Amino acid sequence: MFKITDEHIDFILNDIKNNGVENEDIQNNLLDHLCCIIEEKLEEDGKFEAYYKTIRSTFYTKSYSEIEEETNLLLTYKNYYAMKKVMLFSGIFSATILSLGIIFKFLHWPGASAGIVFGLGVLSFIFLPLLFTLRVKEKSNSRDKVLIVAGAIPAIFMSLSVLFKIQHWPYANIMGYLTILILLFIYLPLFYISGVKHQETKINTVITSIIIIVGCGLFLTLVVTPKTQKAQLVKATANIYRSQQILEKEKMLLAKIKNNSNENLMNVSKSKLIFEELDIFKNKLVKYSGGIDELNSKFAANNNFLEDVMLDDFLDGQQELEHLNKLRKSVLNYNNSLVGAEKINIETTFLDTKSIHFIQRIPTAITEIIQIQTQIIQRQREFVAIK
Amino acid sequence: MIYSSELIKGTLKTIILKLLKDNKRMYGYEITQKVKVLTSGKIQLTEGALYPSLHALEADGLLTTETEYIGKRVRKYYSLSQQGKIETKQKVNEFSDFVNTMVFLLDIKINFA
Repeated sequence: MFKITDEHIDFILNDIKNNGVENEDIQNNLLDHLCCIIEEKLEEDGKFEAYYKTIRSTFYTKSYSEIEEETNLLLTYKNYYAMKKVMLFSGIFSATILSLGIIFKFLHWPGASAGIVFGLGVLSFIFLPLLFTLRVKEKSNSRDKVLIVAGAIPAIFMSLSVLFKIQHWPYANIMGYLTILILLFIYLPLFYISGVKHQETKINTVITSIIIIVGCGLFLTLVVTPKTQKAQLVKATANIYRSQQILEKEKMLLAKIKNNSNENLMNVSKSKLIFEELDIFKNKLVKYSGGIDELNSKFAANNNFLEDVMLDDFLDGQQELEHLNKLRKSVLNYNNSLVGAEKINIETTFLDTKSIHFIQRIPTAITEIIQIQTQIIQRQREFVAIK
Repeated sequence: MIYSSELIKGTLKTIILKLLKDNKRMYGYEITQKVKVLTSGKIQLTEGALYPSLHALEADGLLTTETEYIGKRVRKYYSLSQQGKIETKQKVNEFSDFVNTMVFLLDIKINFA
């Protein structure tokens, strides 16, 4: 039996390492295996190096590294299947939840937006990344890999952009534009160049490219440009400000009439109170959507505008929600104290408790307050006139 | 006759698991020698197939390992984990079923010589 020395061990281990085996476990396994064979088969006075070289060649076709490569292949293959399972499951899950969310939304059932957000979230953060990672793994050619990544980014951006848009989170529009830009100027050229070269993929490449361009075009025709959007908001703000001016004029006229009359007006103090309550809430909304304390001529004249934000966003704070409920109650009480035609019409406004609150927008809510305030003033003037 | 590597490939994991079940604790070289003796040299596991499979089985949680120093070198002993014992039973049953099916499919006359 041959006696293996420490020098022999170092020699073999170095040879294994130099042959590209990096995993320490595999190094040790091979080393032990080789030593066992040598100890058992080589005669006591045998030539170590020559014998080692002959048995070494039975371990591989080119080099030891094949064993490590095979090991890595087996290990990644295992991950591959697990990833594929998760991908399929998350895909089915997100599609189901998203569809349910949309159906609920149409039926105005609760839980709709939770379903949509969760579905799109799983789609954007689990399904799509896994899908593209697996695709990248499947391809060996680096150009194909780049193409998949260039497709993955707009796909994820598009899904996130829709999610952000419906949630009224910031940067939704920017992500939408980025999607189109990446798709048209990065993905499309790469896709076209790689596909048009080969006879068998040529026609499909051209057709898909046309569909991408037309699709982006259709999308862009539906999009309101930022400039138009701003112009619309400025116009809407000017509109609100005109209503505000009418209200102030009415208020002034009422004050003048009151001064000329010595009558003790009924409902005056109650009306004054509700008017002021409405004023406070209105100013809060103006502050939230326009960043100013009150709507004035300077603001409206300088192309400033009130942001078209949802009332729900403002009501996110518990304090604001309580304030709104208090105001609704006050308006209801006020209306109950009036008779017949004196009552103020608040149907479908955000102050109507039966209204669908999540479709309310702040500029509309401000207009509604101004209209209600104007009606209160007009009732007063009517009352004075009759007297 | 030594069997072709295609035939061995699909059964290698089953062979390893069953050997470890019968022998509790083995190292790589021992496994190849045991297989050689048990099959009278008809099945010769190559190192290039054995070690990747051992690593994969370990990563699957079917095997547990312990290392021992033999002088300057490290020897890694493999044994079945709890999950590995269950898997061994399933794999052996599956293979025995497969053999029966193949006997029928290929119309093999079994020679009990």
